[in-house]
Amino acid sequence: MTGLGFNLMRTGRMSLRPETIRRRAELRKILDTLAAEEKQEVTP
Amino acid sequence: MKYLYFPGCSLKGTGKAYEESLLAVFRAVGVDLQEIDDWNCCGATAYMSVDEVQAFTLAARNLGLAEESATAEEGVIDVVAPCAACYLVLLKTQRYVAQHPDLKERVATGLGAVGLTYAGTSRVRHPLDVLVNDIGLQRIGQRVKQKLSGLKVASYYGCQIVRPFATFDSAYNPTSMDRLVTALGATPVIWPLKTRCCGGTLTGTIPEAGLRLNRILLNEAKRRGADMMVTVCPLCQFNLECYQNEINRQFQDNLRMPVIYLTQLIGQAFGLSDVELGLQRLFIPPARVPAAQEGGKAAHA
Repeated sequence: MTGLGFNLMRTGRMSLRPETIRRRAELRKILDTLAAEEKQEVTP
Repeated sequence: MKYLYFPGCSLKGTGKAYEESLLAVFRAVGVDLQEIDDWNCCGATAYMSVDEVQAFTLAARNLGLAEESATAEEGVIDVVAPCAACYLVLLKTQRYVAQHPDLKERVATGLGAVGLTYAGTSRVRHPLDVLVNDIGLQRIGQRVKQKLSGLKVASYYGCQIVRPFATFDSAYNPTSMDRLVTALGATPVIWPLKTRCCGGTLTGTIPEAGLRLNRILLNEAKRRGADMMVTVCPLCQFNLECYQNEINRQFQDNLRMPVIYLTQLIGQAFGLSDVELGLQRLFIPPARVPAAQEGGKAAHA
Protein backbone atom coordinates (compact mmCIF):
# COMPACT_ATOMS: atom_id res chain seq x y z
CA MET A 1 0.00 0.00 0.00
CA THR A 2 3.04 2.30 0.23
CA GLY A 3 3.07 2.27 -3.56
CA LEU A 4 -0.52 3.47 -3.64
CA GLY A 5 0.27 6.47 -1.43
CA PHE A 6 3.33 7.32 -3.51
CA ASN A 7 1.35 7.12 -6.75
CA LEU A 8 -1.40 9.34 -5.33
CA MET A 9 1.16 11.96 -4.37
CA ARG A 10 2.97 11.63 -7.70
CA THR A 11 -0.26 12.28 -9.61
CA GLY A 12 -1.29 15.17 -7.35
CA ARG A 13 -4.23 13.26 -5.89
CA MET A 14 -3.02 13.40 -2.32
CA SER A 15 -1.64 16.40 -0.53
CA LEU A 16 0.11 16.61 2.81
CA ARG A 17 -1.72 19.88 3.44
CA PRO A 18 -5.31 19.14 4.44
CA GLU A 19 -8.18 21.19 3.09
CA THR A 20 -9.88 23.28 5.72
CA ILE A 21 -12.82 25.61 5.95
CA ARG A 22 -12.47 29.22 7.03
CA ARG A 23 -15.28 29.39 9.57
CA ARG A 24 -14.47 26.39 11.73
CA ALA A 25 -15.78 28.20 14.81
CA GLU A 26 -19.16 28.32 13.11
CA LEU A 27 -19.27 24.53 12.91
CA ARG A 28 -18.26 24.28 16.58
CA LYS A 29 -21.08 26.62 17.55
CA ILE A 30 -23.64 24.62 15.56
CA LEU A 31 -22.53 21.36 17.17
CA ASP A 32 -22.41 22.87 20.68
CA THR A 33 -25.91 24.27 20.26
CA LEU A 34 -27.29 20.90 19.20
CA ALA A 35 -25.48 19.13 22.04
CA ALA A 36 -26.80 21.62 24.62
CA GLU A 37 -30.33 21.18 23.32
CA GLU A 38 -30.05 17.41 23.52
CA LYS A 39 -28.70 17.62 27.06
CA GLN A 40 -31.65 19.78 28.08
CA GLU A 41 -34.05 17.21 26.67
CA VAL A 42 -32.59 14.27 28.60
CA THR A 43 -32.19 16.18 31.88
CA PRO A 44 -35.30 15.59 34.06
CA MET B 1 -28.06 28.67 -16.62
CA LYS B 2 -26.56 29.08 -13.17
CA TYR B 3 -25.80 26.24 -10.82
CA LEU B 4 -24.19 26.25 -7.44
CA TYR B 5 -21.46 23.69 -7.03
CA PHE B 6 -20.73 21.55 -3.99
CA PRO B 7 -17.39 19.81 -4.72
CA GLY B 8 -17.07 17.76 -1.54
CA CYS B 9 -13.73 16.58 -0.16
CA SER B 10 -12.91 13.92 -2.77
CA LEU B 11 -12.95 16.36 -5.66
CA LYS B 12 -10.26 18.38 -3.94
CA GLY B 13 -8.11 15.28 -3.38
CA THR B 14 -8.14 11.82 -4.92
CA GLY B 15 -10.89 12.87 -7.33
CA LYS B 16 -9.19 16.08 -8.46
CA ALA B 17 -9.39 14.99 -12.10
CA TYR B 18 -13.17 14.73 -11.72
CA GLU B 19 -13.36 18.39 -10.70
CA GLU B 20 -10.98 19.49 -13.45
CA SER B 21 -12.84 17.61 -16.18
CA LEU B 22 -16.29 18.50 -14.83
CA LEU B 23 -15.55 22.23 -14.79
CA ALA B 24 -13.91 22.05 -18.22
CA VAL B 25 -16.86 20.22 -19.78
CA PHE B 26 -19.48 22.47 -18.22
CA ARG B 27 -17.49 25.52 -19.37
CA ALA B 28 -17.38 24.05 -22.86
CA VAL B 29 -21.17 23.84 -23.03
CA GLY B 30 -21.57 27.31 -21.56
CA VAL B 31 -22.80 26.34 -18.11
CA ASP B 32 -21.45 28.16 -15.09
CA LEU B 33 -20.78 26.19 -11.90
CA GLN B 34 -20.31 28.54 -8.97
CA GLU B 35 -18.64 26.94 -5.96
CA ILE B 36 -20.47 27.41 -2.66
CA ASP B 37 -18.33 29.64 -0.47
CA ASP B 38 -16.82 27.96 2.59
CA TRP B 39 -18.69 24.66 2.22
CA ASN B 40 -18.03 21.90 4.72
CA CYS B 41 -17.69 18.13 4.41
CA CYS B 42 -21.07 16.43 3.91
CA GLY B 43 -20.14 13.84 6.55
CA ALA B 44 -20.59 10.97 4.09
CA THR B 45 -22.17 7.83 5.47
CA ALA B 46 -19.94 7.78 8.55
CA TYR B 47 -21.33 10.84 10.32
CA MET B 48 -24.94 9.74 9.78
CA SER B 49 -24.23 6.61 11.79
CA VAL B 50 -22.68 8.60 14.65
CA ASP B 51 -25.27 11.33 15.16
CA GLU B 52 -28.06 11.85 12.65
CA VAL B 53 -29.19 15.29 13.82
CA GLN B 54 -25.66 16.70 13.80
CA ALA B 55 -24.99 15.07 10.43
CA PHE B 56 -28.18 16.48 8.89
CA THR B 57 -27.45 19.92 10.33
CA LEU B 58 -23.92 20.10 8.98
CA ALA B 59 -25.10 18.90 5.57
CA ALA B 60 -27.94 21.45 5.71
CA ARG B 61 -25.38 24.20 6.38
CA ASN B 62 -24.17 23.72 2.80
CA LEU B 63 -27.69 23.98 1.43
CA GLY B 64 -28.32 27.02 3.63
CA LEU B 65 -25.16 28.70 2.28
CA ALA B 66 -26.34 27.92 -1.25
CA GLU B 67 -29.72 29.49 -0.60
CA GLU B 68 -28.11 32.50 1.07
CA SER B 69 -26.06 33.21 -2.05
CA ALA B 70 -29.06 33.13 -4.37
CA THR B 71 -31.15 36.17 -5.17
CA ALA B 72 -34.92 36.18 -4.72
CA GLU B 73 -35.45 36.26 -8.50
CA GLU B 74 -33.49 33.05 -8.92
CA GLY B 75 -36.12 31.12 -6.97
CA VAL B 76 -35.23 27.42 -6.66
CA ILE B 77 -31.49 27.07 -6.79
CA ASP B 78 -29.83 23.93 -8.11
CA VAL B 79 -26.91 22.58 -6.10
CA VAL B 80 -24.75 20.29 -8.21
CA ALA B 81 -22.98 17.58 -6.21
CA PRO B 82 -20.72 15.37 -8.37
CA CYS B 83 -19.59 12.96 -5.64
CA ALA B 84 -22.11 10.14 -5.29
CA ALA B 85 -21.87 10.12 -1.49
CA CYS B 86 -22.23 13.90 -1.20
CA TYR B 87 -25.14 13.81 -3.63
CA LEU B 88 -26.89 11.15 -1.59
CA VAL B 89 -26.26 12.83 1.78
CA LEU B 90 -27.43 16.24 0.56
CA LEU B 91 -30.46 14.75 -1.17
CA LYS B 92 -31.32 12.75 1.93
CA THR B 93 -30.99 15.90 4.02
CA GLN B 94 -33.25 17.83 1.67
CA ARG B 95 -35.91 15.10 1.82
CA TYR B 96 -35.74 14.26 5.51
CA VAL B 97 -35.85 17.88 6.60
CA ALA B 98 -38.85 18.46 4.32
CA GLN B 99 -40.67 15.39 5.62
CA HIS B 100 -39.91 15.52 9.35
CA PRO B 101 -40.96 18.72 11.18
CA ASP B 102 -39.10 17.72 14.36
CA LEU B 103 -35.85 17.33 12.44
CA LYS B 104 -36.51 20.58 10.60
CA GLU B 105 -36.85 22.36 13.92
CA ARG B 106 -33.60 20.96 15.30
CA VAL B 107 -31.70 21.77 12.13
CA ALA B 108 -33.11 25.31 12.27
CA THR B 109 -31.95 25.66 15.88
CA GLY B 110 -28.42 24.52 15.05
CA LEU B 111 -28.07 26.73 11.99
CA GLY B 112 -29.84 29.60 13.73
CA ALA B 113 -26.99 29.73 16.27
CA VAL B 114 -24.80 31.14 13.51
CA GLY B 115 -27.49 33.20 11.81
CA LEU B 116 -28.08 30.79 8.96
CA THR B 117 -31.38 29.46 7.67
CA TYR B 118 -32.29 26.55 5.47
CA ALA B 119 -35.69 26.97 3.87
CA GLY B 120 -35.58 24.04 1.48
CA THR B 121 -35.64 26.17 -1.67
CA SER B 122 -32.50 24.55 -3.03
CA ARG B 123 -32.59 21.41 -5.15
CA VAL B 124 -29.82 18.81 -5.06
CA ARG B 125 -28.76 17.61 -8.51
CA HIS B 126 -26.17 15.23 -9.87
CA PRO B 127 -24.16 16.48 -12.87
CA LEU B 128 -25.21 13.41 -14.86
CA ASP B 129 -28.82 14.57 -14.43
CA VAL B 130 -27.89 18.11 -15.49
CA LEU B 131 -25.92 16.90 -18.51
CA VAL B 132 -28.68 14.64 -19.82
CA ASN B 133 -31.83 16.49 -18.79
CA ASP B 134 -30.87 20.19 -18.73
CA ILE B 135 -28.06 20.53 -21.25
CA GLY B 136 -29.34 17.65 -23.32
CA LEU B 137 -27.81 14.96 -25.50
CA GLN B 138 -28.39 16.97 -28.66
CA ARG B 139 -26.39 19.96 -27.46
CA ILE B 140 -23.63 17.69 -26.18
CA GLY B 141 -23.57 15.80 -29.47
CA GLN B 142 -23.26 19.07 -31.38
CA ARG B 143 -20.18 20.00 -29.34
CA VAL B 144 -18.37 16.73 -30.17
CA LYS B 145 -15.23 17.32 -32.25
CA GLN B 146 -13.79 13.81 -32.19
CA LYS B 147 -16.35 11.03 -32.33
CA LEU B 148 -15.24 8.15 -30.15
CA SER B 149 -16.17 5.56 -32.77
CA GLY B 150 -15.12 2.02 -32.04
CA LEU B 151 -14.58 2.60 -28.33
CA LYS B 152 -16.45 0.15 -26.08
CA VAL B 153 -17.38 1.70 -22.78
CA ALA B 154 -18.81 0.04 -19.69
CA SER B 155 -20.81 2.68 -17.81
CA TYR B 156 -20.57 2.12 -14.10
CA TYR B 157 -23.14 4.06 -12.07
CA GLY B 158 -22.31 2.63 -8.66
CA CYS B 159 -24.98 2.21 -6.03
CA GLN B 160 -25.55 5.68 -4.63
CA ILE B 161 -26.70 7.98 -7.40
CA VAL B 162 -29.80 5.96 -8.23
CA ARG B 163 -30.54 4.29 -4.91
CA PRO B 164 -32.46 4.74 -2.72
CA PHE B 165 -33.60 7.92 -4.48
CA ALA B 166 -34.05 7.34 -8.20
CA THR B 167 -34.62 10.99 -9.08
CA PHE B 168 -33.50 11.04 -12.70
CA ASP B 169 -32.93 7.44 -13.78
CA SER B 170 -33.98 3.88 -13.06
CA ALA B 171 -32.81 2.47 -9.74
CA TYR B 172 -31.80 -0.88 -11.22
CA ASN B 173 -31.24 -0.30 -14.91
CA PRO B 174 -30.10 3.30 -15.40
CA THR B 175 -29.31 4.32 -18.96
CA SER B 176 -28.46 8.03 -18.85
CA MET B 177 -24.70 7.45 -18.93
CA ASP B 178 -25.04 4.90 -21.73
CA ARG B 179 -27.09 7.38 -23.77
CA LEU B 180 -24.38 9.98 -23.25
CA VAL B 181 -21.70 7.51 -24.30
CA THR B 182 -23.69 6.88 -27.49
CA ALA B 183 -24.01 10.63 -28.12
CA LEU B 184 -20.18 10.80 -28.06
CA GLY B 185 -19.97 8.16 -30.78
CA ALA B 186 -18.77 5.34 -28.52
CA THR B 187 -20.52 2.02 -27.93
CA PRO B 188 -21.97 1.29 -24.49
CA VAL B 189 -21.28 -2.22 -23.25
CA ILE B 190 -24.38 -4.03 -22.04
CA TRP B 191 -23.55 -5.51 -18.66
CA PRO B 192 -25.54 -6.42 -15.56
CA LEU B 193 -23.26 -4.96 -12.89
CA LYS B 194 -23.66 -1.27 -13.65
CA THR B 195 -25.19 -0.49 -10.26
CA ARG B 196 -23.46 -3.19 -8.18
CA CYS B 197 -21.60 -1.69 -5.20
CA CYS B 198 -17.80 -1.40 -5.41
CA GLY B 199 -17.56 -1.81 -1.66
CA GLY B 200 -16.92 1.84 -0.88
CA THR B 201 -14.47 2.14 1.99
CA LEU B 202 -14.26 -1.63 2.43
CA THR B 203 -11.05 -1.60 0.39
CA GLY B 204 -9.51 0.18 3.38
CA THR B 205 -11.37 -1.40 6.29
CA ILE B 206 -11.91 -5.01 5.13
CA PRO B 207 -9.66 -5.29 2.05
CA GLU B 208 -10.38 -8.99 1.43
CA ALA B 209 -14.06 -8.09 0.86
CA GLY B 210 -13.48 -4.77 -0.90
CA LEU B 211 -10.92 -6.08 -3.36
CA ARG B 212 -13.13 -9.03 -4.22
CA LEU B 213 -16.08 -6.74 -5.08
CA ASN B 214 -13.90 -4.60 -7.34
CA ARG B 215 -12.38 -7.67 -8.96
CA ILE B 216 -15.84 -8.94 -9.91
CA LEU B 217 -16.73 -5.61 -11.56
CA LEU B 218 -13.45 -5.24 -13.44
CA ASN B 219 -13.40 -8.81 -14.72
CA GLU B 220 -17.01 -8.66 -15.87
CA ALA B 221 -16.39 -5.42 -17.77
CA LYS B 222 -13.31 -7.00 -19.35
CA ARG B 223 -15.20 -10.21 -20.21
CA ARG B 224 -17.86 -8.13 -21.97
CA GLY B 225 -15.21 -6.53 -24.16
CA ALA B 226 -15.03 -3.09 -22.58
CA ASP B 227 -12.02 -0.95 -23.52
CA MET B 228 -12.62 1.14 -20.44
CA MET B 229 -15.02 1.82 -17.61
CA VAL B 230 -16.51 5.24 -16.95
CA THR B 231 -17.93 6.38 -13.67
CA VAL B 232 -19.38 9.45 -11.95
CA CYS B 233 -18.32 8.58 -8.40
CA PRO B 234 -14.87 9.47 -7.06
CA LEU B 235 -14.73 6.58 -4.60
CA CYS B 236 -15.78 4.05 -7.25
CA GLN B 237 -13.13 5.46 -9.60
CA PHE B 238 -10.50 5.29 -6.88
CA ASN B 239 -11.35 1.72 -5.90
CA LEU B 240 -11.63 0.37 -9.42
CA GLU B 241 -8.49 2.03 -10.72
CA CYS B 242 -6.05 2.27 -7.86
CA TYR B 243 -6.41 -1.24 -6.45
CA GLN B 244 -5.88 -3.12 -9.71
CA ASN B 245 -2.23 -3.89 -8.87
CA GLU B 246 -3.28 -5.28 -5.51
CA ILE B 247 -6.08 -7.34 -7.10
CA ASN B 248 -3.64 -8.71 -9.69
CA ARG B 249 -1.19 -9.60 -6.94
CA GLN B 250 -3.71 -11.29 -4.67
CA PHE B 251 -5.79 -13.10 -7.28
CA GLN B 252 -3.17 -13.67 -10.01
CA ASP B 253 -5.29 -11.63 -12.42
CA ASN B 254 -3.97 -9.63 -15.33
CA LEU B 255 -6.15 -6.54 -15.12
CA ARG B 256 -5.21 -3.25 -16.72
CA MET B 257 -8.58 -1.63 -17.27
CA PRO B 258 -8.68 2.18 -17.60
CA VAL B 259 -11.36 3.61 -15.30
CA ILE B 260 -12.05 7.23 -16.06
CA TYR B 261 -14.65 9.83 -15.17
CA LEU B 262 -17.52 10.33 -17.57
CA THR B 263 -16.55 14.00 -17.80
CA GLN B 264 -13.05 12.99 -18.95
CA LEU B 265 -14.60 10.92 -21.73
CA ILE B 266 -16.89 13.78 -22.75
CA GLY B 267 -13.92 16.17 -22.67
CA GLN B 268 -11.94 13.88 -24.97
CA ALA B 269 -14.79 13.91 -27.45
CA PHE B 270 -14.95 17.70 -27.14
CA GLY B 271 -11.25 17.85 -28.03
CA LEU B 272 -10.20 19.32 -24.69
CA SER B 273 -6.57 18.90 -23.63
CA ASP B 274 -5.27 16.15 -21.36
CA VAL B 275 -4.34 18.67 -18.68
CA GLU B 276 -7.76 20.34 -18.76
CA LEU B 277 -9.26 16.89 -18.15
CA GLY B 278 -6.73 15.79 -15.52
CA LEU B 279 -5.81 12.71 -17.58
CA GLN B 280 -2.24 12.88 -16.28
CA ARG B 281 -3.59 12.00 -12.84
CA LEU B 282 -4.77 8.55 -13.88
CA PHE B 283 -2.77 5.48 -12.86
CA ILE B 284 -3.95 3.62 -15.98
CA PRO B 285 -4.37 6.12 -18.83
CA PRO B 286 -6.87 5.21 -21.53
CA ALA B 287 -5.47 4.20 -24.90
CA ARG B 288 -5.79 6.64 -27.76
CA VAL B 289 -9.37 6.60 -28.89
CA PRO B 290 -9.76 4.98 -32.33
CA ALA B 291 -11.24 8.10 -33.92
CA ALA B 292 -8.28 10.13 -32.75
CA GLN B 293 -5.85 7.60 -34.19
CA GLU B 294 -7.57 7.78 -37.56
CA GLY B 295 -7.87 11.56 -37.50
CA GLY B 296 -4.28 11.96 -36.40
CA LYS B 297 -5.11 14.08 -33.38
CA ALA B 298 -4.46 12.26 -30.13
CA ALA B 299 -7.20 12.48 -27.54
CA HIS B 300 -4.70 11.17 -25.07
CA ALA B 301 -0.98 11.49 -25.71
